[in-house]
Amino acid sequence: MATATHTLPHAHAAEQTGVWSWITTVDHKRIGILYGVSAFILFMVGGIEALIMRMQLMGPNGTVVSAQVFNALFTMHGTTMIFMAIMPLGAAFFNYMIPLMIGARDVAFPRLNALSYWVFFFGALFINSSFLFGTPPDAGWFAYAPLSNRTGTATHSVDFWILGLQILGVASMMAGVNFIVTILNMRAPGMTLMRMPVFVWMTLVVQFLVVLAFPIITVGLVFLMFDRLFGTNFYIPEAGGDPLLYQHLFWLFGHPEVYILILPAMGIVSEVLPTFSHKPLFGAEFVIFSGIAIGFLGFGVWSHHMFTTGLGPVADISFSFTTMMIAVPTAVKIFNWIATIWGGQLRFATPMLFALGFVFMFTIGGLSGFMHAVPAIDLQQQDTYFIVAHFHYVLFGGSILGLFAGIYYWYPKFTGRLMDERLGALHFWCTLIGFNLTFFPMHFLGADGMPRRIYTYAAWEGWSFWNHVATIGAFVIAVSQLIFLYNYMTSRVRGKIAGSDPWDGATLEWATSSPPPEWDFDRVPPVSSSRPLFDQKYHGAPKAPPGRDDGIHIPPPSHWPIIVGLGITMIFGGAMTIPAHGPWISLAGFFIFLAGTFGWVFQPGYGYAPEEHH
Amino acid sequence: MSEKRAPLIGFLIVFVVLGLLWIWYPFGTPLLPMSTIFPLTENAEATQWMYALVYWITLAVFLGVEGLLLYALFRFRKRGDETAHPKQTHGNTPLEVGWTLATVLLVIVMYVPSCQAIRFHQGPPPSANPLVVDVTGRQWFWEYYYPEYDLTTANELVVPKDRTVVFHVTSTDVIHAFWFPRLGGKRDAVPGRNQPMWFTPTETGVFQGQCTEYCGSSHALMRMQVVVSTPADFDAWVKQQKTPPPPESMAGFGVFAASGCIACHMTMANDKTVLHMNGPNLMKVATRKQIAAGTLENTPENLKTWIHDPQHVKPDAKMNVPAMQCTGPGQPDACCRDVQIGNCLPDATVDQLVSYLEMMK
Repeated sequence: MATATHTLPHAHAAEQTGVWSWITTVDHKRIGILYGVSAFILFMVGGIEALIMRMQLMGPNGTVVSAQVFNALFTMHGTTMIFMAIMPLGAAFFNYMIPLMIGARDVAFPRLNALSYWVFFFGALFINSSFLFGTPPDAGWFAYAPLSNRTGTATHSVDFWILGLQILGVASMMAGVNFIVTILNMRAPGMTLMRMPVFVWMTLVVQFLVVLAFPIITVGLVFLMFDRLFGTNFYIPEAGGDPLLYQHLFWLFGHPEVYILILPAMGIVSEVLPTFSHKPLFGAEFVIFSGIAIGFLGFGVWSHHMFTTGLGPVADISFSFTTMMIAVPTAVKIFNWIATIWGGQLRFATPMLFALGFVFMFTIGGLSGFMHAVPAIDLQQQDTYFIVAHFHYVLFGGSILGLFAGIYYWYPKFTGRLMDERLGALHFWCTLIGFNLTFFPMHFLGADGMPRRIYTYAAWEGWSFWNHVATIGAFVIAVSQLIFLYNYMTSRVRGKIAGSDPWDGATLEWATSSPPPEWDFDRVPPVSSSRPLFDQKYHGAPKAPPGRDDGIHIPPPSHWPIIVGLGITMIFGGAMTIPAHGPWISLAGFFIFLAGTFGWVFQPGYGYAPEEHH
Repeated sequence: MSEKRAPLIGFLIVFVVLGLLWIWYPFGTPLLPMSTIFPLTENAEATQWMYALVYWITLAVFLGVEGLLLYALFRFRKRGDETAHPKQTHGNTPLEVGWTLATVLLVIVMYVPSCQAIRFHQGPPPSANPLVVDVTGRQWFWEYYYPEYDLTTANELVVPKDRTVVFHVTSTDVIHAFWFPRLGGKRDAVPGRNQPMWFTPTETGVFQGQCTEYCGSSHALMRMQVVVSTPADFDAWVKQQKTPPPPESMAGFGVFAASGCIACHMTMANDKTVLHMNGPNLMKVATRKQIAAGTLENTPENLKTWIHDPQHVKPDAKMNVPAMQCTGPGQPDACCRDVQIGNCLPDATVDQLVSYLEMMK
């Protein structure tokens, strides 16, 4: 085999600079950066949408935006934050860190990885291009039929949403398969499944959730698309269709999606807390298995989003049971995190602050979630600001704080430099205070009866004070993100040189240089425990010998993924023009897809790292 | 103050402030029109009991868990004089089993009464002779039909005190949610389904409600009121509602019809035959306290504003009918929706319409 591969044409080593090098890269680390930068830009877009909403709701009878614009804003805020900010921020870490943490030189399918990114990129462009056409999606981020049917929304706004989500779904599915194969097949010798870092475990669970949950929403959205574009009757009650079928399909996806958003952050926190406590993760097996349990249970709770739809007492009793049961593995995780800290030597560096903020805030989100797991209470809280408060404690106080912990933690690995600690702490405290100012009062607003998704309210409803506070908090959050951005940018130039292992880490990513070479490891490090680097540093476990392996296999850059990605986007995106103008855009997309795939297949996928110069 | 202590103080302040707010809310928050924690029916009280149980248990968990976290941060912070790694504990199985079982136990404590509450809310209504009201959510108003009296009305629900009311909630367009927080939990209005819900009001007064399922542009302006009256007042109200319009209003009816209003609104009848017209029934509109689904007080000036420029009062309201273009109940959706300007009725006509509607009592 070895001789056979040597006879194939050698590709050149990848260029490391220039736009073209980013477009054609198949290096998991650079794709990770692409994901991260794109996701952060979209995070700011979603944040600006939120700020406009907060300005509108700052007092009664707001006149900042119209009802129609407000409805588009909350629809796109939710859609953007979930599918185009938090998910791809998670993907940024999967891409950059997973191969490094399992001692691999890339993901299993590097070009597929690039394709995932480009499909995501075009999908995000596509769905946001709806603003340019004046028809941004405005049926809410779960777009319930029949409001999302043609009778409920006649414009193309919902078409942009449906097809955009389908495109983003394709990207997630491809990445899901890629990371499952990578994690299961490409671990360094000696790294058994139970020796994998918990972040890798949580990623694995997330990828299974993606692969199992996205087909469900795909079906749900295909039905909706057919109802809208081709006159079928899946959700049309007058024709015997059932609007609740859409809700079942949506939430059967939608609840696992919640765990898709939170489990990566839980994984990050499970890396950060031990490092900054100088201890191993307490009860790692229990943390891992509770993550798996959350993944399983996540598929059995969807109807708690539908207690008010009248599914009947048996359904409510069953689904409230499964929902409450999720509290058990979640609590187990929180207890294990506290036990990890217990007896440690805690360093309050910025990653640790964010990880602790995560544990602190996520606990509140879990407790408020328990409240509406009780159907009787949910009948009062459903679709009020209480729900808004709850899921922001989980998704902002949870996912976003966890992801920030990850950014500060691994930044030295990405860049070779440390972020500024003072600005980091400032960012953390402003974020934490702004976050609580914004979202804690929303519990009160919800209990005071303020429905979510209303673009205005009257003074006599008595919601002005807490709305005012929430708006102030939102601006504090916004300013603190600017501090982060400034810190991120300037630390790349001015930050302290990090070295390969700035935090005294225990896992393999700290065993290679910062930033790592294109091939990740000069020699794949041997693994004999769940803390390979810690054992090498302090317990005399064998290290990789010095020098570099010969003939390190890395894939050459390829421009085909972006072309195939463009084709896929056109196939889906063009569908909305079919009833009026025929299938021409989709057909053109299909041919681009075909040509791209053809070029892809015949492009050699083998290359080698440049030889070491002594 | 050393830098190592600063984070501890920050977390402590957040913990104390949030904890105090958590304790403050049920005691300190004022009674607001839509408050969920000031129940007035046994139905809402069952919810409230459950809510209180979970509220205080979760508060205890919050104080315990977060307090433990803070204590750990304080006690195990790095002091800088450590010489060796801390003890490398990998876990403790009895502890894991212990806190797993403790959580399960706590869940059961809340789950059992929760199931009893479900049984109570969704069980048969506690009355052999309830008042039945068919509720239909519409973009963007509420339609009520009382089969017992063959009576159709809109937005302002009137019910007698101490008699159980059974609602059958549905919709003819998109999904809405029917909710009077002080009288009980909400129920979604799903087209094609007829969902039961009940409560027994025990106090007279006017209580506020609002649509809580996002239903399009004017979702925020789909409010409603329930008037709980004494049985005698209720009977008088029914009698009044069933009285035909006064004969002297017939002149106004001509204007009403000629202006196209008749395509969607009925003023001459409010029985079953006029159910599900495109707009709310107006035969007794002057008896209602509010117009445009709780958007404006029902005064002649507001009526005038509303008729003159419905789009300004209520975005995308379907009432923007240029005179004479709408011809029948089947058609208005198509001809009403795309007009983004106000009504093109002349001022004099609007005045005539207002005085006509003022007679509808």
